[in-house]
Amino acid sequence: MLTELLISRIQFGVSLGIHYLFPVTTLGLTLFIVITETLYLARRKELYRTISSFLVKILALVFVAGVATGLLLPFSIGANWARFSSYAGALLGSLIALESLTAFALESAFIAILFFGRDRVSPVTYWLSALLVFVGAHLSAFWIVAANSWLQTPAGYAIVDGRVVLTNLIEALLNHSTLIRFAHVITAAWLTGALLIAGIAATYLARGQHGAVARKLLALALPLALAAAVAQPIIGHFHIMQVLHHNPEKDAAYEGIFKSVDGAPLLAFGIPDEQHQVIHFAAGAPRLLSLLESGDPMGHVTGLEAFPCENWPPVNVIFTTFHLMIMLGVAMIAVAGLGVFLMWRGRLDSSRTYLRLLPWVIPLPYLANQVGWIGAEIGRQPWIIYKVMRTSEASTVTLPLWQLSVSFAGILIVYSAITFITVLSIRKLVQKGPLPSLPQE
Amino acid sequence: MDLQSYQTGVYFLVSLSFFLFALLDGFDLGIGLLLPFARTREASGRLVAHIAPFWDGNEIWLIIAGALVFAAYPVLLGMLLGAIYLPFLLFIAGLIVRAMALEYSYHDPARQRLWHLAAAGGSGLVSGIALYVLGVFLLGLPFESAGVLSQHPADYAAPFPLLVTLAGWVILAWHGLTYALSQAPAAATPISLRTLWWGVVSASLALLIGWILWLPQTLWRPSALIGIACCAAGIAGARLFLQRPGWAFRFSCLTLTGLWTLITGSLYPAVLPARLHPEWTLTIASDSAPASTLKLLLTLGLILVPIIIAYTWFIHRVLCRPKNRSRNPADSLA
Repeated sequence: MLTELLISRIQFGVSLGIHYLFPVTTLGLTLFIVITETLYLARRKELYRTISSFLVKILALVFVAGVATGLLLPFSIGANWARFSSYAGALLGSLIALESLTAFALESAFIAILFFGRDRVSPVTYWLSALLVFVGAHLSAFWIVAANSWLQTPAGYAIVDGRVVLTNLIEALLNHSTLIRFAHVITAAWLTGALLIAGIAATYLARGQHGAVARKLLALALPLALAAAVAQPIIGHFHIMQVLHHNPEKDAAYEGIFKSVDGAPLLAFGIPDEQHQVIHFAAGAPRLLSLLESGDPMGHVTGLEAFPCENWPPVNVIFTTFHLMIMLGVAMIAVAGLGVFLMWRGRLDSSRTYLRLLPWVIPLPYLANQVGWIGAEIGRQPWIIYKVMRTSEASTVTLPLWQLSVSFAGILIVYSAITFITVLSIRKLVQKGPLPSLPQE
Repeated sequence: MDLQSYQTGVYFLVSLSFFLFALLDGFDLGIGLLLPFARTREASGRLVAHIAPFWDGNEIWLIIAGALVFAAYPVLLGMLLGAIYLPFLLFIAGLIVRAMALEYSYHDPARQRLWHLAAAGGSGLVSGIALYVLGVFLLGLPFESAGVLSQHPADYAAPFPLLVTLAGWVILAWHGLTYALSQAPAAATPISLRTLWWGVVSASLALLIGWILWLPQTLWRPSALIGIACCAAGIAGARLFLQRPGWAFRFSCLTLTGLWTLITGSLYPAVLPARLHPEWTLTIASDSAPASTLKLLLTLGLILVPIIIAYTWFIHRVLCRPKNRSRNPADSLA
């Protein structure tokens, strides 16, 4: 049944999920812009400037879509989650204020030089602006991940007069999950950017267009994609160990362990049945989960049965999204690995099938980002702040159902339109191709 | 420092952020409002080129102000946005439309005029809703009971907020026009500077009369007198220095500073003033975050706000100086 609470949750999730497509691309693109601008500064080859200008044009479209879809989010915490915002606003609001003051302002101001300042500033100033936009975007990601991590593993606070009060900013910021989640998120963003760029470059090479630009882009993007894709399961392992220690119910649901056992298998596939507490069609490596989590193949793994039922996250959703993310990760390692291998053997240009495949890989990292976050956020349920406040106690009570329905429909239409226009325009831009720029006077 | 000083300091910081939004994004919104009056695509394109690099950086002040409100007055945001939920979403929709329209007027030149009109619509919606809400704040909000705002649209309908909206539109358009002229002194304007100046005079007088009619009690505060004097000086100065490039814009900034002084002085110390039951008003004493949070916000604000202003100023200088090759900022994107 669609209750006020459920609509507010879906609305926030959907708007956040669509918004996330853009900043994750921004993070990846700013990395490549800084790299090519640095190479341009070091080697003064026109090729790097052409590449960077091309990426900046894509960034312009992605960035504005990110701004447009992001404006709503901080405010909707107040609008839809009034009880939560009055309970925890002093702490979370401070983090969001810090984000806008230190990071978002920096990024938005200096991005103007990237878009409009090529002919008005020296190459060093331009490079510095690219670096500041990169720093601003990543710093911004840090604050947001820190704020979200605080919800998962709250720290550095006290509850005074029924409100959350910040007692230690550093402890709140660097709570148990911030750093590992930041690493996971940033690596995912770089992987996303790398595969986007590789996909674009591959279309050029397959059609025999913009050969020099395409080869350089692939030479930058494929090794980086492989490095990020391989790093991700290692970072993921440490993240899961952190989840095991601090959110054990979530970990048990991720791994699909209902009953506590010794020598638990690491499942690769399965369909959880919450009612009967079993995983149907389970397939995986025996005893591997125990080995990974405790270092002993016969180690004890605590199952969901050890926790009260009302504190379980929805096992089905998060088991499925978690395993989908892993499968996508494996696929991306394979694709990037094959690409690097072909490049190493000097056969990339002639591997037309591979080049035709690469553009179709672009959606995979986006999907992995989405399912990863869905698992993380739904995995936090039933809590909005883990073991501090329940989601059901967080929403605005005064909002009538009809207003929520209108707003949800409106947001869905507007956000879909933004995504549609942005994707279409990027496609158009890519078809037009990178234009060689004239040397600076 | 004691708790009350922190509360007052943060109140000033929040109010300053809203003011910087009004001052900086004000000329973006003002230029947006002027776009329908530009007769040709080239004319509106020239206007848009003045704000294209900056609107996004200017809009940041709204986010900063909103985040500060969220942190400093935890009850306020939920209460207010829950009550004016749909208008608030329309306000966000206006910002979204403006952002997309300004960007796509470059990417989609075939429909440039349409995008310019969309940017105008977005700017009108954003400034209209913001100004109306400002008017309602000045008048006091309709409370149902302590801590609960009315949900009925009729309770928010009043002549004074409408007056604030109409007068505000004229003043913002003037701010935008003088900004455009400070960038390109010789350019043709969509509305003659003199005509709009008379518009500002009428709008300000109407606002003053409205203020005397509906809010006489706040007029005798020293801040109100200083504010009104600044406004008058800004308007008169703009007329005297109309021919000097850049000066009309500076005087327009003085006018907005005067309005800000008047408005902040009238509202202080309320964060959510109640119209009929003053005892329900949320004030800095009844809805401030704990001292530790206020201290953090104030410290960081005092360090970071000047830094942001400094680099914004630097970027403005860099991007407004004559370029090496390109004639129009649009060229680097097109």
